[in-house]
Amino acid sequence: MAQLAIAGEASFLAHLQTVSPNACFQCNRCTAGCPLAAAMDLTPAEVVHYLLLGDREPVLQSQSIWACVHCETCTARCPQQVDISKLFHLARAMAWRTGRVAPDQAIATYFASFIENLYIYGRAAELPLTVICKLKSENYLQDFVLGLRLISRGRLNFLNIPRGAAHYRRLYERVRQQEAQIA
Amino acid sequence: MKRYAYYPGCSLETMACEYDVSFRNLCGQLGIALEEMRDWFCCGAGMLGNLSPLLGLATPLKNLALAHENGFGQVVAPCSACYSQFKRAAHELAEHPELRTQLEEVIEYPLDHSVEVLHPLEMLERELEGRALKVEADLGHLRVACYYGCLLTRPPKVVNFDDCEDPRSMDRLLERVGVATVNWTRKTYCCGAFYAMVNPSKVLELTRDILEDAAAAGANALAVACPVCHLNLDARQPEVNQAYGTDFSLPVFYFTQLLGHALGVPAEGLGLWRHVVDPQPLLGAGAAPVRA
Repeated sequence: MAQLAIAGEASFLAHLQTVSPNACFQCNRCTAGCPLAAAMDLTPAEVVHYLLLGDREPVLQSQSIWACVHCETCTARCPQQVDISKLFHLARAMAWRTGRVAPDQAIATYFASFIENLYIYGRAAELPLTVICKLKSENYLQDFVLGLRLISRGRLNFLNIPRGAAHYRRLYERVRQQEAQIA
Repeated sequence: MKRYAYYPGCSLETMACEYDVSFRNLCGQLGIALEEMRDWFCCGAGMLGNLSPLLGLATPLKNLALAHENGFGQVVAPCSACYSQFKRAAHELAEHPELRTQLEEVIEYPLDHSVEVLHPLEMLERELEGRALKVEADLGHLRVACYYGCLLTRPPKVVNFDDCEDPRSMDRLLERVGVATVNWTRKTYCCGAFYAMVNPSKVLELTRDILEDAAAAGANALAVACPVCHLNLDARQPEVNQAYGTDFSLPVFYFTQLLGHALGVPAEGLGLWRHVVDPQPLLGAGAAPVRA
């Protein structure tokens, strides 16, 4: 039965079946259109090929799964309807859940900050989120000027504390319970 | 009168507050009833799926359930990321009906209903079809490159929005109020989105390509429909100039600001002063040639 948990290897494979990487015939259209291919160690087509061969480890340890921003160009253009963007998402979740994230992986720090922030506020509180993310990744000065520009235009401020946490926290806890049952 | 549930999304409360205010005022001007959803929370922005695919799908579905519970059949989501999350969740549910029970259990709401999710571009095209528009400001000197970005148009089988390689809906709406739009190639190229958080130089490169292409096509401004596109194209424009020795000074509007301005929303109701590249001289002073 397809259940949406990713903690176990088996459910990861069940997901891969639904995305069917085996339809790929390596035309490389996904790679040709990828705006972030230059920041990847494995091209999108190579990622799909590894998954097709059942060789997941190189994918889970790659830089590529952390460089993808899900612009969906690959998925939109694949002549075989392989949902490449979704494969990247699943591989990233698998890598995260099984502790394969490299400690210096800054984007993972951003994802973690985002998810913690959401648990507190229920909505993305952009200023605290950015500050926490920069502190955690020790990028103290990066985007400092940009931040000041936005603050001076009233587009980032500490006064705007979002609401909406109650529904989100309840949902989060229910998902955790479900996943604990499946795992 | 038809009521639309309005799901502003997190960015429209802060970083993109001018998108929010200009959209609300535009709807007010046009007599379209927007009602902000009660108790809405973040759609997950594609981030939650990194931790848990179940949470990633349940979060947008719970928000849609809240809209349905409050009697709405249509939700308007101006942020491309929110829009895409809603569309993606509905698509996954339709493709994988076996997930329904599990999702119903976590969101505590039956999934036997359907709530239509609309981007303001779709909603406005629908609302304004066949309607005579009273244009109050002449914007004939503008040459606008409409930038659609990624998530609004892709993947087509999920969002089913316009033509995914050559969308035209924003062009059509702006042309109706006398704004000329340009033909250009990078209207759906990715700006790098949140990758800017960790690797700004890559994003500056992608952003420069977009600005360069718009300028080469003769545009003196861009129009966007997404907070992250706006952040990268407008707020990072000085950084692009610094990194590449360019001298871009291309105002980046939310399309709602241009429509609002043309249709008579007062300037203070459009949030134009919040932009990094000041768009006010171009709007006010007639044709002002910008770097070709």
